[in-house]
Amino acid sequence: MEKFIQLLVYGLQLGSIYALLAIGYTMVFGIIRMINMAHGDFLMMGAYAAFFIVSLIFRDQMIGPAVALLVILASAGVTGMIGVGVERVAYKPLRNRPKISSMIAAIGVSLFTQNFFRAIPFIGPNPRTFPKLMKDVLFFIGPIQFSLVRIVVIILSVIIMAILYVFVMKTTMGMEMRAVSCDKDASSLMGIDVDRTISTTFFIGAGLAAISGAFYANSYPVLTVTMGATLGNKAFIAAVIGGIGDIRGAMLGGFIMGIIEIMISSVYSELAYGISFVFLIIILLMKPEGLLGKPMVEKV
Amino acid sequence: MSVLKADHISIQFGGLRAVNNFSLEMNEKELFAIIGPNGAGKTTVFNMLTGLYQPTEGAVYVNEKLMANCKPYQFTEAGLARTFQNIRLFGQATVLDNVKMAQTFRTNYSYYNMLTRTGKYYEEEKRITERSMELLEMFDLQDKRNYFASNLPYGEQRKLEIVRALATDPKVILLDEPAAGMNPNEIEDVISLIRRVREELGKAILIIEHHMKMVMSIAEYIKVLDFGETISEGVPEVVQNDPKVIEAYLGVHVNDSRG
Amino acid sequence: MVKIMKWLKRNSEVIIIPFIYVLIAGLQRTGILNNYIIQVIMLGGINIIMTESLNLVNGLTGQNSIGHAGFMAVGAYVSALFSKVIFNAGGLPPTSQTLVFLLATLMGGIAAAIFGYLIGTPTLRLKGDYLAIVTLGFGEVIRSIIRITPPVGAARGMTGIPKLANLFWVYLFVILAIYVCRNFMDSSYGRACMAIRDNEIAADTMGINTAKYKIIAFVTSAFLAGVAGSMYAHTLRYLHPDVFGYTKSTDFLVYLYAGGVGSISGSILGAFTLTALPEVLRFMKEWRLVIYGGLLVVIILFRPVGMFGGNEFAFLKLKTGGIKSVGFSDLFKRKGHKELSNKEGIQ
Repeated sequence: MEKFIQLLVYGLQLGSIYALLAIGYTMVFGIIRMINMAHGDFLMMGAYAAFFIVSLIFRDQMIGPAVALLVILASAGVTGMIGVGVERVAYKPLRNRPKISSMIAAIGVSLFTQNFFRAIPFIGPNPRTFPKLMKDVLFFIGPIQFSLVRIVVIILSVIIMAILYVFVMKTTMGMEMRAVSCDKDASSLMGIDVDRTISTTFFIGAGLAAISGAFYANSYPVLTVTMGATLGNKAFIAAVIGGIGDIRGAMLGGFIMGIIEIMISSVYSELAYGISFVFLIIILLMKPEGLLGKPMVEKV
Repeated sequence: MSVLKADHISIQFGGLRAVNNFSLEMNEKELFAIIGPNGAGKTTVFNMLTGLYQPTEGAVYVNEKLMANCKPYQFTEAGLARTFQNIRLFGQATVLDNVKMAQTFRTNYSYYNMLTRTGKYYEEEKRITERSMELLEMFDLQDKRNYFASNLPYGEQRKLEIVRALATDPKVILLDEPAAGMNPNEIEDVISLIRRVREELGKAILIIEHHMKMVMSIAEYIKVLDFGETISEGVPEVVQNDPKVIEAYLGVHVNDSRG
Repeated sequence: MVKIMKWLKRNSEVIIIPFIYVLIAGLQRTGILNNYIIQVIMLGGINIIMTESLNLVNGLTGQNSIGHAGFMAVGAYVSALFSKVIFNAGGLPPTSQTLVFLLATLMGGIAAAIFGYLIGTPTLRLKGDYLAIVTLGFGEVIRSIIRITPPVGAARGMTGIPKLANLFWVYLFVILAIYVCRNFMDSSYGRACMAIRDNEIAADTMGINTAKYKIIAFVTSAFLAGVAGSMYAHTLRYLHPDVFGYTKSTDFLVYLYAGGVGSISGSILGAFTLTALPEVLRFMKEWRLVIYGGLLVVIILFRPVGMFGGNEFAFLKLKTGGIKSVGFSDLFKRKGHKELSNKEGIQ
């Protein structure tokens, strides 16, 4: 029983990382109907950015939680800007072309970024060790051991998601994003700056990915250039399970994926990745719109 | 023999009953029309008659064959063809290939024949090409056979859609707004084309149309839909003067004393 | 005599194809092309087969398979297992080696084809991005399964595969693959697939059983990939599951889309050039994938037709898969951008 609760906590933590990443996928899909295959690489960039900020500015000092938060926000900002750049250069010109073009472009971007970072000696092909952002504190509730850092990650993620949800639902910018998701052309006719809205979406999505990257690296401190790819695919599956295009769906799907993966890994780790794809196929066959989504009908 | 029969078909999308209790029976070489205001459910009826939607009630028969849970290609195999309101040509293929593509299911060589180019491969390819050219010549498109379909002018694209549907050798052909977006001259062409299809090729034709003059001049029998219900039907003279039809289109009661 | 000359002129490929082989083999024999270069040429040929196979599904039928290396893996492992087992049984005269090789290749192809069927069937209703992710997942699942299967070497890989492939066999299978693809494209099957690509609903309405033809395309494509896998296994003589991951699949995507999707010549030239280029430009080894990624984006943005993708090998009468020298790649162009000239191309 204690083991179960502990696994549950691990699952929630991993799930919150997936959730933050999945939100990015879902927001981008919602607004330009495209699955950004390169999204996972934003996670990687965020983790590396945080790494470099810490190692260059703080050397080997142990940094406190407040500074850690600032570092994470900074890396989110940097990654967000990169996201905006990628969109402008590679995706914007393809908006009126068939979907395959965007997908190929995204594959190209992903290929490029992963290997570019690998080829630069500064960043390099060797894995890096992420420094501990803060000292972990272990405490017990009853017989179960909890890690403060993990709990903090979960809580922070939930707070971030809540802020995001309020932003999308209650602010003007959020409303513009929802409008553009519904109908891009009508939105621009209503005076919404579609380009800026899309850029904002990418900024937020990439930023969230970066934050999830920093959280992930904190618990699994090995950085590689490919770390984003696998996590990205799993987050994508999470977004689909929850209902692609729906932010709450991404959150729900993320947590589900995290918990299930931890549970399966504790039994048979090799197959966890493969099984998640089997999951995806089943969902797509049975309820393609996901748990919270609405079915899309093609007009004949 | 009945070439197309709809037996009290209805379709329900969630809470919305898009089409209610629609019936139709057509025999060979007959020319019927379905008219009604926008959103009346005309294309939905077509979609049920061609297998794109499954009616939630009632049944559809093509050439007296019950089409239960059948896919569109099975409707075509049974002898029915259709064109679309928004042109759905194979844009990246040539005019000739568009027509050839519609004859895939009537091609008689096997996978093995295809791989090895033995047996009936050359025979069938020749036959299909000849038949396609015949159809194209009949509608004066043979000179453009190597043009990409998307490069044809609008009127010829519509013609090509019809030729392509004819290539499936149906007994009955459904045309969804064949005169959409055309000027009066072009409409004359469409009318004579439809007449030729009926006379020379012996097809039964069911059209959805908004151009009243065209419908009234060629249709033998008309069904009028509004909000999914059949509000009137009959020969053109009857339908033209039916107050319910006028009200549906114009929204004004004929006998309005204030009018 | 004149008749023979005329026939030869019209069917010039009968001369040109063997000639190319003789040329390369001759250069090999005289040592001008050393073993390393020959192996590169063979790998290039294997990549050509893979790209052709991908072209059938992505280019011709408009589907989105991005995990194609999975089929290659199946073919590679099954054929390797077969020939290893037979050879280890021992005592085979040299003449039957050829037979074993061909049988192994056939089995690899069939096994891959079966997987093609298994993947093609549940994915019939999926479109675009979803189909892509599922095919990606399939590739990963295959890799995972291989990694945990001890009899085929699991995560250590499989060694000791007999050296059965040589320049001749690879060349032969490349030609066969091209032949199969051309015959497929220029037939009612190919036309049905193109119809599905251009407008699936219209294809369905025109009597084309879309499910059947999608599966046929998938299975044929998978078979070819399996054959390529067998060539690969018997050339390199060592297999490791991680080789057949997503990265390898993206290689083929780059060859196809950068080369010229939808056309046979595009696939050939794309695969061969991009295989050979890293060998020629040494610095590319480090930056190969970076360049590929950038190339993909640049091509999609500025020249969606691909670097090649036209009538490069007109003498071979290769159907360009989109009919009359513009194919699937044209679908990438901006909507509303019409062809500048109505190409009245040669049949």
